[in-house]
Amino acid sequence: MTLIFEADPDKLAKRLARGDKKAAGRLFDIFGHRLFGYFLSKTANRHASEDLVQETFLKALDRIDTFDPGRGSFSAWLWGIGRNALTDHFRSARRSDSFSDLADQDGELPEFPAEREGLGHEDKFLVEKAWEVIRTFPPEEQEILVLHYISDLDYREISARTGRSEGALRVLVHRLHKKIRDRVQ
Amino acid sequence: MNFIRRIILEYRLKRAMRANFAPERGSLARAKQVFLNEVEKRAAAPVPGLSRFLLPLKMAGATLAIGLVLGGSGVVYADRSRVGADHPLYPLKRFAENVKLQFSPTEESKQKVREDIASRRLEEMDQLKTKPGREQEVEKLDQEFKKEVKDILKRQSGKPDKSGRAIEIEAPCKAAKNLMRKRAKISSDTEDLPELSQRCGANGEVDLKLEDDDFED
Repeated sequence: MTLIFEADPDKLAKRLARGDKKAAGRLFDIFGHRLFGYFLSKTANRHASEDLVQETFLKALDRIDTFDPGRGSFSAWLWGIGRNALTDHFRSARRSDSFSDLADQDGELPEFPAEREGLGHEDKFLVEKAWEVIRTFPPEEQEILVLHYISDLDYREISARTGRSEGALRVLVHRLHKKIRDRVQ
Repeated sequence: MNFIRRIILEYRLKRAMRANFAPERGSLARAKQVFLNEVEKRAAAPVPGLSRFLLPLKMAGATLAIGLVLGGSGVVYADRSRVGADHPLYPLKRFAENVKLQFSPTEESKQKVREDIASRRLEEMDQLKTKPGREQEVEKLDQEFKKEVKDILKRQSGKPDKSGRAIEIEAPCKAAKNLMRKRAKISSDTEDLPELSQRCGANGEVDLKLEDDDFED
């Protein structure tokens, strides 16, 4: 059995384009749970989030030949696909009205999703409070905090997603975190 | 102190957020497997760009293979059977003769092939002469027969060939005379080849003073 220690997603993406199953597995391990957190924060639905993760990776596989590292990182490219999948999901849900209680596609966060099993009482309280504070922020700031806190993207990757400079993002996150801290404490 | 508390709170918040929004253990396993199965399926499938050319390539390959088999069979058939000068496979027969001559390893074996070729021209002349309006073709075959006989006589030098074996001096004369005798039986033209009498004498004795160049056409 060959283990893959390659951590550069751009190189893994090239190998995926050549049909390398191990690189595909590694990419899923790196981004699967991050995408899940992102989708869960937007849909508040774990099953829908799992489906969206699968759909995002299948769509990425369809278009892997169009990925060009010269035009941006794999992470930013994958998030773009994930965002489109999410938009399609909301559109479809709105048409069928089966998820009318979920957040809309304007980027506003839904009610706090059902907490994960095994989360400590203090942590649960902290997250719920912080979530209520974050929901009061404008959609773009909510998106930045979700990408930063939940999806664990670094400032470079968030910069590629939002178009803001890394420096500006650092200042913004610091300011938003101060707001959260002041209201959670 | 406040700074440290702030850092700790931020760290706790981040950790708790990620923990709460993380998938349940194994819940993404199905999605991962579906994705990996798709990767495997596509890796096993032919390349789209290539598949466009695959069918024409296969057809061209099959056509070439059929062509080679039929062509090869045709050459063998034409070479072995009594294909006449007016037969559609006659060019293949001549092609096979040339190949056989070119690939004969020794001068001695080349001589045998030439004798065989000359005999074939006689047979073809014999077949064709009974058919009306084929006189020119018969004449052409006769010229080709004479050329083969002259070639047989040219090699009557006694010098060793590439393999180091000397050609039997009298054999070419004997073969040429036999061939001319056969020709006399089927042709009204009984005139002998001047080269034959020059080289071999009237009674078949060999004149070694003549060189190969004497017989150039």
